[in-house]
Amino acid sequence: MSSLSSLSSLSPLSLVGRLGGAALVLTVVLPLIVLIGSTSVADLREAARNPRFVEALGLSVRTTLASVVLVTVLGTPLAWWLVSTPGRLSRVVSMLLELPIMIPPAVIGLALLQTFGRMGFVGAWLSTKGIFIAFTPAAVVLAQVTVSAPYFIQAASNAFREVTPDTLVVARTLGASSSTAFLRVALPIALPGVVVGASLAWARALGEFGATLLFAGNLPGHTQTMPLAIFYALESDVRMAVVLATMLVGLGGVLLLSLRLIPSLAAAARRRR
Amino acid sequence: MHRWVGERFMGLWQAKVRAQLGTLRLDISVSDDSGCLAIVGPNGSGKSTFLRMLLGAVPVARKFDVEIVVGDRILERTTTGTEVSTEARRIGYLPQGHGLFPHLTVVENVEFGLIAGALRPASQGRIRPGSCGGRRRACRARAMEVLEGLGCQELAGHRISVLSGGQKQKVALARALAVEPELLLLDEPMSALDVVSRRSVRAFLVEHLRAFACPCVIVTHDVEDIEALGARVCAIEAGRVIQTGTLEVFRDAPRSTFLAELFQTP
Repeated sequence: MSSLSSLSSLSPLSLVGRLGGAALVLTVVLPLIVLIGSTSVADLREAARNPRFVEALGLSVRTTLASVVLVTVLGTPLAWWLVSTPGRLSRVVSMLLELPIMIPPAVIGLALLQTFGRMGFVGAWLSTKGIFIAFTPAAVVLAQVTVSAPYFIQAASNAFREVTPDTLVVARTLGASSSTAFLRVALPIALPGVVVGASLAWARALGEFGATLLFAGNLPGHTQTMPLAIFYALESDVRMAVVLATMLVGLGGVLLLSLRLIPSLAAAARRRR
Repeated sequence: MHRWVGERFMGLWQAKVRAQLGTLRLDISVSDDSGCLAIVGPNGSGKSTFLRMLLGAVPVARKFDVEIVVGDRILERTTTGTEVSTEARRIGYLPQGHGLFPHLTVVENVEFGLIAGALRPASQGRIRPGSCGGRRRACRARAMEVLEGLGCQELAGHRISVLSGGQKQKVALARALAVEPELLLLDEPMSALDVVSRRSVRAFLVEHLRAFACPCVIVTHDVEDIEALGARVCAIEAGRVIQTGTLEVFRDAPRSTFLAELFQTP
């Protein structure tokens, strides 16, 4: 590390690099500071009494929590399978799961509508059973799961790659069944990475806009999440939109801070033992 | 054929493996009742793969011909479709680079096998099934006992990451021996150590393998290990056994240039 930092200070490009870096930091951080600065505590208090805001926040919290639980519970065994099973099938599945990262969310929303909409591929059959998904809170969750699962799978897979196959063989030789070896060895070793993956997925689900708009619509109190509420508040009441946005910045900040703190807190807990 | 050392039974084990694994063709037939067999051979000759086959950690295809017998237990016989699972084989394993669980302390590593295998019949004499907490305490007590027996009790509360290379190998051995395996496989246990800790771990292995009377198979590139353990030698090249015998046999008449180089006396 120290040799690298001394190298970069010697670089003839250092001045250009520093200016460019500072410009980038400013571009990323300045709008957030301005946003937070343009709202007041009184505005926040007023928003807290606004039923539309409360509805949107409640819906966002409920749907994103449901999404994260679904993604984590279904995605953890899947990530383990992707990492521990060599072969063409797992490589193809792993690549397919990365696809939603590369595709615009609006496209995903349209694809979901084509599939689960009332006339859709699966939706037409479901509607004969009296099940309607599109434009319901379930659609909000489905859209969030689709866009956020790839982030979880990637982080969890990277974490599971830290578990060497030999470690698991040793656990088996010590009398653990393969599921015990997974639960007591592989999962605890990978847990910090799995938590990071869940947090990334949650952040992505919280910010979900395009897919939700197309697939779940914008029904206040029903499918209108925080990002959608911001967009529509902007048309009527800019101050309201700014307050909502500030709330999301705060949530994101808390999430990031706890992500950064989790590894050091875990390390401190280990040292105490 | 069999002998008793202290209270324990040092038996014959034998393995016959005919398998095609990727580009590696294994055709190995070995048996040993001397208590310690050293496997030597160039890198990529199939030594580690052979150990994993003994453990049942390599998926066995239908066309393979595998027969593994330890003492009077048939662990694998492809002709009759017999296959004992890895966790029921009672074969201990020290993989290359210790394989300790990094999220557990030293004593938690050692008690892992006691907790996981506490309901196995062979352990029931020592650790009685009972209330969960009681069993847990019995496992902890037994783990501490093993660590004390190996002179490692002061490491008990340590995290794996703070141990030296030599200490890691000692703890890995303690963990493997704690469940009283019927055969112990060591894959180059000293390869990552400096000269000083190598000497210390070697003496440690000799002392405690003898005390536990646990038959072992050790993969090594070091003649000093073979000498210290008084091991019989089996040489594998390109997936085949090319020579077996005592150290003297290998010194007098090595059958390949690799073996001549390995066993040459200055």
